[in-house]
Amino acid sequence: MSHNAQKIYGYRFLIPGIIVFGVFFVLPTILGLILSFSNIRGFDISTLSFAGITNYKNIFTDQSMNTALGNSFLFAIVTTIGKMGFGLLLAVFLNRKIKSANVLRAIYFLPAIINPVAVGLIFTSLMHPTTGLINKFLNGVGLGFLAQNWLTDTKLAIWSVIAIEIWKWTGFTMSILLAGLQSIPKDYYEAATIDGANAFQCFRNITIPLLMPSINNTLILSIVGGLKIFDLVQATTGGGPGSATQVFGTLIYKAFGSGRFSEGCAAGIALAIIIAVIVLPLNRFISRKEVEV
Amino acid sequence: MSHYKADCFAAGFYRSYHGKGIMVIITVFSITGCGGSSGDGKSASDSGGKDSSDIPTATILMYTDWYKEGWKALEEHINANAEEVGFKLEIQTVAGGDQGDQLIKVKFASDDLPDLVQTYGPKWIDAAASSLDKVVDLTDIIDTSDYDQDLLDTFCIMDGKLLAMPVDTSSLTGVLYNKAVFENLNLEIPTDWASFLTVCEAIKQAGITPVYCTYKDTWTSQLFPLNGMSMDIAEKGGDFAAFLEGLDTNQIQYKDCTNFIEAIGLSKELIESGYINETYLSDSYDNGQEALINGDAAMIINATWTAETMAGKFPDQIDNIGGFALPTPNGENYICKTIPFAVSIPTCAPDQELSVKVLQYISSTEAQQIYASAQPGIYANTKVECDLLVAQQELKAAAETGNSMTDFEELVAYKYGSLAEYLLNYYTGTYSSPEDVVKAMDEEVAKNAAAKEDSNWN
Repeated sequence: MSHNAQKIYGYRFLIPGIIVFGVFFVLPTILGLILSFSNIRGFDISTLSFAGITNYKNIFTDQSMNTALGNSFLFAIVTTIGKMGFGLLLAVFLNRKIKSANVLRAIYFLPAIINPVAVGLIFTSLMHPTTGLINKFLNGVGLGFLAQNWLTDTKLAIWSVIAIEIWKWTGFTMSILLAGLQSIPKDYYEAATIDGANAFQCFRNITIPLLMPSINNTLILSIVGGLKIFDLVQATTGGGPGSATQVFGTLIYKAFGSGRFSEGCAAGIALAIIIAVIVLPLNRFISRKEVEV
Repeated sequence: MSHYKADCFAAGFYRSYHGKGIMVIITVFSITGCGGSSGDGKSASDSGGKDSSDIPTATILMYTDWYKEGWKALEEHINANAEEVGFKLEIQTVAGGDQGDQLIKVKFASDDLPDLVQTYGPKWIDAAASSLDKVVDLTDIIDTSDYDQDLLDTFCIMDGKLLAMPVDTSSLTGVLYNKAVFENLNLEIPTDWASFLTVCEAIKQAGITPVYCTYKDTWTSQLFPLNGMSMDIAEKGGDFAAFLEGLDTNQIQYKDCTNFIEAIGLSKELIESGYINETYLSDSYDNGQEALINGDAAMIINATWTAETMAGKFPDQIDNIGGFALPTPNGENYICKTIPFAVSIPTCAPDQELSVKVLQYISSTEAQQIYASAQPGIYANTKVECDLLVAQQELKAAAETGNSMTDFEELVAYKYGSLAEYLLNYYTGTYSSPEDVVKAMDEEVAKNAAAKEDSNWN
């Protein structure tokens, strides 16, 4: 095989991936970008005309926009804190030598594999104010004053959805952090203990820095996932009552549902830009703090 | 979080390479697909699957709520006599409400429809789905001689083309009430808003929920306020077509419909007065029917289609459910007549010949009689005979002796968005007044008109 053939040989393996990537990501993204600055009736390409920034203007002047933006950020921040916090606690707990560790890991991970629509339906039933098990339980144990309209109180509904999201994904976060914890050599802890470090000092000076790559991954995934949340909100509240739990994802859905495809594309692009503006600097910042094992 | 695992893989992948930013961007841009389909069609038929014989099976798509006794009887008859009629019928249903509407619209846009589809009619297909060119012209295909021609002209014919055939009943909106509750409490049918509130108070004092609202199924919140629009149509001359044209050309806006706005305010007054169930945001359409039939509630505000559904569920008790016009402050009570749901043939239907054959049969007086015998109601086919349910009889009589108006909502050129969402915003305090509701409607209409470059909105 000649030198040139050898050089090209490796690239051939990339072709299928590049084709798939191009057709299913690059092309739709470019078309979406074009559509976001256009006006089109239905899917009739012959009606395509330049619309300038009208679609973007429509999105940001939508009456639900403030609610949706606020809810999206609230959702992303709180669920990230919740998933990271509980996930780290569980990971540290299950990193110990306990007999039921494997069973517990599986149990905590299980919610992550349940379809979000099914999760939504289950919690809609559990959180019903009169027939739901949560309020029935609270009333049964004498804590009736804590019973709430979990999904229909406009101030509480988004927090209920946040709680469901944390429940669903904490196990998944735990599994990534646990893998990170298990890759830290025990020698470091032994050496630190000999030097007189206590458990907290070990956690702060060894565990956290060496776990930073895993933390970075889960943090980025949580924020991106939180900002683009759609399915769980749609399955539990549908963005309601009214528009109390609208998020950016449901706004995009609403635009597409109204037949304003260009506006839907503009909303999608706007959300991508918002996420990029937040995630890229954050990723860079945390990456600098990573320590190689 | 539907892309959570994919994102995780991407994040893990990017960590191995120098171009970290690239994978983050990829993750970020993967947002354009916002989650999987949450409710694709399910078959409502038990016997619709193709068997080894050569009899073809036709599939019709409709909303779950529309698959009632009439369709069930017709489906059963067709499948039992498949050899004779020449086809089998499979009924595919999707959830109703905004989500169902959106699913049907997407199916229109993506040419993903079966042999037939039942919708609100051609005007809805045009206004909501922008897909009028995706249904077959039935003008010379279907015999319409047994049908109410005025109704066909209004609802099914556009630009001189017959684009759908009405199957199902026209419904009359109003108050459905439990007769036994009213009799036990010696209550008269209220004729104006004040007497309606008096009746509600008496029922409440008896420990019964006066009006059961079922706004978990958000569409049910619209019936009360929309009734007010009938008075606006009457006030503006009573010319239904002219009113529609006014809405479609920006000559009339929702903010001009004062009776509609007043009705929105009254609907909230009813909620705040404590005359409805406390858990009205969590209770479903089914809960409401059960509460009404059991006497746990005295009234629900809906339409005769609810009585038809209840007749299927509670055949022995349905005679205990009556109906009257929703009272208004001045006693000018209107009954709103909804359009019958209509069946069209999509141009993307896999076997057009079969679709035509099925629709010809379904539209025939013979088939319509089978449908109507199982589901009594007001039919567009004038040859059909059936015994109306008590609620239908009473609302029909009220409409004939009093005021009635055709429902406008599915006939406008530009949709006003989700009225249910705006109403719930008002009921839960996000909007402060009924004017906010109509403002949201007008804004949505303007957006939809602008998207179609309608110069009336420039």
